[in-house]
Amino acid sequence: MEDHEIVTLYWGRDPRALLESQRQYGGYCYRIAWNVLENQEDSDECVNDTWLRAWNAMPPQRPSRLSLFLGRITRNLALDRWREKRAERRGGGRVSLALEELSECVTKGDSTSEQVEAHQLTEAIGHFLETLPREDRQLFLGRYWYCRTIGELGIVFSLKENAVKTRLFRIRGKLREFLEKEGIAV
Amino acid sequence: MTGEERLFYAIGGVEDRLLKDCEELFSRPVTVRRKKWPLLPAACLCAALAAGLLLRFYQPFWMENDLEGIAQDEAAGSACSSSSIGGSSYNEGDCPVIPWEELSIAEQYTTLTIEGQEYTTRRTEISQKQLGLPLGEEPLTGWDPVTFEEHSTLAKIYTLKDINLACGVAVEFSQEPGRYWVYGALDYHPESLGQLMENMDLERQMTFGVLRYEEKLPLGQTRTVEVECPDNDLIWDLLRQQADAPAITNYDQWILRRGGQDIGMEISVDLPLFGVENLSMTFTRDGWLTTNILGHGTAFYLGEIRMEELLEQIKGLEGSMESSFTEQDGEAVPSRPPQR
Repeated sequence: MEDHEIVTLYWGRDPRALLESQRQYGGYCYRIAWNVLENQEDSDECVNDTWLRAWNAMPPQRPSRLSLFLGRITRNLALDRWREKRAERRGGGRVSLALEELSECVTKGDSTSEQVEAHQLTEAIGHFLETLPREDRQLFLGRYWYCRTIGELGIVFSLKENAVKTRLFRIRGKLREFLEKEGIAV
Repeated sequence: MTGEERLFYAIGGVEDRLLKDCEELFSRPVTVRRKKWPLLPAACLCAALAAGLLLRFYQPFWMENDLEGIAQDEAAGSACSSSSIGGSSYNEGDCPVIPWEELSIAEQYTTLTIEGQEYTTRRTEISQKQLGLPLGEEPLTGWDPVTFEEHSTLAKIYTLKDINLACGVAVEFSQEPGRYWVYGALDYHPESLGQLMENMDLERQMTFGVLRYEEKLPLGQTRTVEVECPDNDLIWDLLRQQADAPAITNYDQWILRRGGQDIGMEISVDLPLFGVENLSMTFTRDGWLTTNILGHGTAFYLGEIRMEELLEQIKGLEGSMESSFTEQDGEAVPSRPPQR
């Protein structure tokens, strides 16, 4: 079933929308949740919550690309759950490591700036990503959107792990500079 | 919410068109090849056939990078049975949960407590030569990630050679004698930079990668410099002089109050013994050296004047390092010629 057909089911309040979403994107959303949570039970719950959120979001939303729409919901739910359970976690999970790396990009902006709203920060990051070469953009999103490990990124891009690390380090530096130049406080 | 968490959430909201060419890359499982199957004798045809059937329905966890393996795994993935790996209601070809039996023993038993001090697995295996003194035996508990069944085992504990007990230990599991795994302290807080360097034997264990800083030029231009650091000793020589820099006592509150850092320089670091890769040491213009190599934030106060001197000294090393590129107003320009 095409995305627009599934979206039509949501708009028609047809429960088959949930079955089709699960059939086509269940594995995809599960992987996104698992990369954040690294736990089967929590990931299952996140994916189930995703369908509920999607049901409540459509209408009025009508996404053209359902995979990304659902994936984004799952990612946010997983991150919320990760933050709740952070105190119980041990060791350097994928999200912990990614956050440690992103801490290098935290900026205070200029002396008069206050913390920007979330959507403004997202917009700024979008502008930043547009300035990157395609592969750098994919590498950055692979690490910080899809929560892939350095090893996995090395396989996907046919790079040695050191090269992946160096490129990500450079991209993070550029992001920080970009945010500072825009006067954006994170 | 911390700044990095805000960034992480914000990255999640970027427009679909930026994610479109990532979807195909990351929507499929990426399998890392662990080891090659041993060659089977030609006479053992039945065993070879059985192995072939097993591969068709069961996706092993490989470690060695191999692009050809990805094509094989993509073919095998489509044939993965939904019943072969228990639990999830989704197509197991997409399910990355690794069964208990396939985890390394250090991944099965992730935490260890010794006299109230908690250690967590770094998934790093070491040789006997890297062991220190024996500390006796301790019980460990692990949980099956699929069935949540509890498992218990006994392990011999050792100090790590030249590493303080407060930072980490080595564990030899009774099931796998002769194999030793590093477990790092969950909550180690050094009192000074020198104590951190000594207790974790950083000069021998940690390597520097890329050094990056920004220079302000006349007329409002900036020059971004990135160089790779082949000679770690030069950086350590300078850091040793800052050994008395005291550590902050409550990093989380301190960093929240700051809201951000005026960074003078940062260096990427690897600490393979503790499973650390691609983290950083950051030198701020107001005199702080911060790092996340301990799994939590740590900061040491050098003071503005000492920091300014240190940064100049490190920058002075630039000519002796191999330069990657220098950027000025977004365009690459030649770096300074090497010093003699």
